[in-house]
Amino acid sequence: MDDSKMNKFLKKEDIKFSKSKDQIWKEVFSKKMTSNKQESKIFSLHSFFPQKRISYAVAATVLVLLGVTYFNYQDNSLVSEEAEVVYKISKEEFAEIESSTMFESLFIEDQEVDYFFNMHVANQIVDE
Amino acid sequence: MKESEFKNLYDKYFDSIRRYIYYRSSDEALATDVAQNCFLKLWEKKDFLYKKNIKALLYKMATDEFINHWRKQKREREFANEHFEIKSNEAENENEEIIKYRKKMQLILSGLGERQRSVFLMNKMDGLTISEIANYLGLSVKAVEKRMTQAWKYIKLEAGNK
Repeated sequence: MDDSKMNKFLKKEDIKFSKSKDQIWKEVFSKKMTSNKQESKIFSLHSFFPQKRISYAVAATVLVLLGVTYFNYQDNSLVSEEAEVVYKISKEEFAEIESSTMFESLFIEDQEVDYFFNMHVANQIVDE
Repeated sequence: MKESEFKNLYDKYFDSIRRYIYYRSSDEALATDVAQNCFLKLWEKKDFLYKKNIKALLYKMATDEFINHWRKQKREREFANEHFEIKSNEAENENEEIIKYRKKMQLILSGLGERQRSVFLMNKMDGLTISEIANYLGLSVKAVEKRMTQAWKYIKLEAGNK
């Protein structure tokens, strides 16, 4: 078999397919492209977050923040008032406890005073 | 990648990818399916593609797809009698001698191993150089040369016998 003859022959030859590439493009790829465009329309950011929707969201957020700040302030002032009341009560109670202790000390028996003197005060004097 | 760029790639490379798979498989439907799948995958991955050497990427995808298909269909294919078919671009003015010669060539090419046949026909029919084939198929130049030599040897041997 002559090489040049074969080369010449094969250059002229072709593979014939039943469907051309243009047909395949129309059947498969052009459909794919159009469906892809529709999908991208559905999921585009602009349609998902239109300007109106964004402004409503911002306004709602600001309102919520203002509301939270206001109620938080109210709540804090109530707590501080309550704290003052508690402080006042405790001061009065403390005075009461103090006076009652002083009054009770008048009724301590002599034996107890002697015992306290011997155990603590006398020992302290000896040490010095 | 824009749609127009993808269309350009499709117009430029679809036929050569399909022909390459046909050279290997002798199966028109398979060649069309593989080429189609390659371009569908390319479209799906269009956002992550480098524009450099897309042709080589397409050949690689086609080879992988073909091998996958080959593995799946191996048992069936072992019993199938593949017939490699080529047609002339100037079919109207053909004489008997050319028709006879074509039949002979088809018979010889059908018996040639698919690797040798694809490399041989990419060179002879598509006019690709050895280094281009090596680049597209991810082979060394030596490997392509070896396949070409094997193809030539087989063709000459068979042509002498037939």
